[in-house]
Amino acid sequence: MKEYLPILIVFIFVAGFAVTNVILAYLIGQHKNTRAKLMPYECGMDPVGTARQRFSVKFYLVAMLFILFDIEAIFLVPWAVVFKDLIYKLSKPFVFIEMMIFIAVLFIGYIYSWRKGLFEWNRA
Amino acid sequence: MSSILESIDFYFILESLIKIAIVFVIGLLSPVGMNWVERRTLALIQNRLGPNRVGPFGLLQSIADGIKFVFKEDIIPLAANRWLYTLAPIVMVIPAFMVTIVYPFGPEIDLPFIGPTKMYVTNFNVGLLYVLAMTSLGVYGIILAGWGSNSKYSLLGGLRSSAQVISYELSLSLALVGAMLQSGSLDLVKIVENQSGWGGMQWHIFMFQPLGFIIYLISAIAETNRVPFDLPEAETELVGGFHTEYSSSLKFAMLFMAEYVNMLTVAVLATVVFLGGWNGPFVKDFPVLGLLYFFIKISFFMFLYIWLRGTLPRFRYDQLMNFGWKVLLPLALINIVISAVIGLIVY
Amino acid sequence: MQLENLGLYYWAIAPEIIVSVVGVIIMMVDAFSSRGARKLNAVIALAGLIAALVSVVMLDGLGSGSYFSGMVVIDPIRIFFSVTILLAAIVAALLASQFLKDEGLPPGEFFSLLMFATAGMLLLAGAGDLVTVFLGLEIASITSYVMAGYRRYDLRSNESSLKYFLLGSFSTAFLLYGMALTYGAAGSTNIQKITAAIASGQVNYPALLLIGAALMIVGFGFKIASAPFHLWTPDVYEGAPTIVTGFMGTGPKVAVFAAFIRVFVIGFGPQDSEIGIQLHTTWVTVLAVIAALTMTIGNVIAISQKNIKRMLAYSSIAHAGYALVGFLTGDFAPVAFYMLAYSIMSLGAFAVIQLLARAGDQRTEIADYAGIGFEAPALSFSLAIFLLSLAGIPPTAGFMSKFYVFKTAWDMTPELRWLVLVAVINSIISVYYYLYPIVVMFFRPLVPGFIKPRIAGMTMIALILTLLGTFYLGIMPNRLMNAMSRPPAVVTQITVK
Repeated sequence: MKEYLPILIVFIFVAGFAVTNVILAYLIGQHKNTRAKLMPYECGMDPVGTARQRFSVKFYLVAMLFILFDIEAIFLVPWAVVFKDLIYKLSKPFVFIEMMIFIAVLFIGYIYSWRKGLFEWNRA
Repeated sequence: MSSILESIDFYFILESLIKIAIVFVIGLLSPVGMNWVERRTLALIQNRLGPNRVGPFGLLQSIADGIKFVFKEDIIPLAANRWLYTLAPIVMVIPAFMVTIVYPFGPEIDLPFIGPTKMYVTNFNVGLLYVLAMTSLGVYGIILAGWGSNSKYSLLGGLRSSAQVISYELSLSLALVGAMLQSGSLDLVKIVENQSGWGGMQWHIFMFQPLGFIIYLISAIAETNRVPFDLPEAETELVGGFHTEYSSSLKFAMLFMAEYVNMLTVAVLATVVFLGGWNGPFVKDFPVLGLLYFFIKISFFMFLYIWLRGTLPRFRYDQLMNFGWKVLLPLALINIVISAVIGLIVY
Repeated sequence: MQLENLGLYYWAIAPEIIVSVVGVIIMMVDAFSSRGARKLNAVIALAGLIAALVSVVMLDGLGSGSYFSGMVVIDPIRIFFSVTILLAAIVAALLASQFLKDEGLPPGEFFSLLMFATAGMLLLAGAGDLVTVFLGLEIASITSYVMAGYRRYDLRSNESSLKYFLLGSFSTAFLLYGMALTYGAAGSTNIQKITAAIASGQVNYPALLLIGAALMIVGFGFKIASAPFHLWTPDVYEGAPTIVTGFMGTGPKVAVFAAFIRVFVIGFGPQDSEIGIQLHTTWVTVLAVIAALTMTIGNVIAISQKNIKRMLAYSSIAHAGYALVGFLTGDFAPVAFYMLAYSIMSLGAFAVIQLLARAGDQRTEIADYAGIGFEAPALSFSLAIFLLSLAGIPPTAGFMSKFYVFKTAWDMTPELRWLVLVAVINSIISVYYYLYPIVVMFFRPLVPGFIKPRIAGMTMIALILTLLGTFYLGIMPNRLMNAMSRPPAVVTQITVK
């Protein structure tokens, strides 16, 4: 397990670095705040309305599709890693066909989403 | 308690600390160097001079910029959510640098005075997954920066960027699955060693992953928000996107660093997984050559980034999403099937 | 690891495979047809369900055994419950065609959801492992959540879907936690291995097992809508489209009863060890109380309902209580018979209600039924027969199933005779509210604005089937009962055929 220890070390290292940077930025820089300076940037004009506006539902759809396909991609990873070993230990067609069925199901879902217009960014 | 203390290998920790420090400095300096190269090369492409005042050939320009970052006024916009605004650069920079510990720079090299040393900080059997996990954490930083700034440009940029990053992450990880099939491991060092045949030229790109490499490369460029996929930043329409509100203080420097280290990471991954890592002719006899090969391969990718930036226009957003979902994703799936079929025939 | 040891025999899950593949085919047909091929989808769905039914019957010929490392079993429980589930799905598919047309809803997703739900329920009925139980339950539940909200622009439907989803996920968490604790106590998720561990007294922490069983009772109890976990039922049943209500009230309930029986009656059955006896007496006592509560609450509250869907929701709670009485006999046959009879008559009743309610569930108050008896005699008489059957009046299926359950319970578990008495009293109470709509239909003046509903061919077939089933089970139940009276095959170890 010791090969995982550097992860902890580097996390402490980098987190320290990042937090130090934030504090340094506060300490070293000068502070001459004016209202205009602290205004949200909008091409030099006074901001119009609020930035907390509703955004397209498409972003949520993309997020959901991502979750679906990413989980399926994760299922492919262990199979891919043991593929070489398993085709000797089990049988070649079994290891291959099982996953091809999985990919086929994945692909059917993909075609379905395509046909139903989930990937059409232009449509509502 | 004493047994736990005994079980800790202090020599190992010391070694790791030194290596982490070295890798960290590399990570810290690479944006500086990259930035200079990028400016000069872009200037060449665009037929102008580029930075040439500070130091010879303007070499110190980036250093000067770095110093400027430190002394700039630190602004938190009034409308912004203070905590998220401050947290975002931290969240972005930590995973970016955490990946650096698994970069396999070279084989075991017999260093003078020290003895045989592995040219990487650590190496474990899920290295590739670790890299993927850490790089995908970066999207949190982007969305936090976009939301926390509470500015329209930032929000739009953050949203666009996160949608883009997760879209292309799919094809990126699926492209890697093909290579995992070939190497049968997630251990980055084992993946590299697996490509050492044919006098160091048995790279996965030749061993049946050319399509995977192309998919990976395109997705990787999109993943790092570089031209032609730089919509989140889109300086001409979104004035920088999610980092619009980050004035040039150290916070901006951190976002900037994280971006360049991420570029470095995807280049390293491309090198390790597809281009044989440190492998090349005569590495078996002269391991030091491995470091050189690795550096050359990484430089190639870094140069590619700049080259693309200098020559290509920007995608439109719907084109970008269409390309990711309708072209790259099915291609990546097909690549897996092809790899499996080839695997069946070859093994 | 050898491939042979995994026990991969795909025909052991043939019904599940057929149903899921047909679901996928319907999805594809829907994706590639420009404006929803409603009839075609219905036909494909029916063909698939009938093929699955045939494969279930063929599974019966293969004898008992467990497959996929004990994940799936073939035994009479699975066969009978699978048949019930498939019959419910067939009736629902027959009814869905007209429902989708009247409401103007997209047909493709409905049929594929129906198929996936059925596949999940079949898996649940054949689960030999807690993991498969959970898997089947999730497939069946998640699709039901979506189906409950299928009338997307109707607020009640959305409310129903959301409530079902939130409470359902909550109860699933209970079930899963119970499974985890049981696994911790018995050292396996395989039901046969758990039984073996209990029988040999090799349970790590007996208290853990008891808590696990209690949590699983909560989870299963929610899914079969037994008191005090029944509170979601009326709202969900009322808001969901009527066809979906009919299907939700039968299919998933049947499937969950199958899994419930396999985990409790067989898995936690009376064993020789100390913990085995303790566990068995505990859950029998708890379930007896739950059964009595369920019947009483369901029936008493049903009396005061003005909406016929709510009334039938409470009635379905009460029926879950009666089935639980059969459950406590330690034999699966009364429950299987009861659930089959209940599914047929309940689906029939909901079919008529759907027809009378018209698009958007406009007329579901009992007052809306006034005087329609002789205006739409076919529908009214059918509804009357289904309601009488639900009340348990001979010569209908309802009477026979109740009689079978109560008699078995009276004979086989003398210590639970009080429960049978409670059940009989409850049946008498229930007659009141089942007769009330009949009285309203036939002996009240006609309500203005009644339009005689159109009955499509497939709906007609479904109605005739359910009517025939109601009378067949009521008049000639012997064949089925004899088939069921085989002892439930308990496969003592994981054998691979």
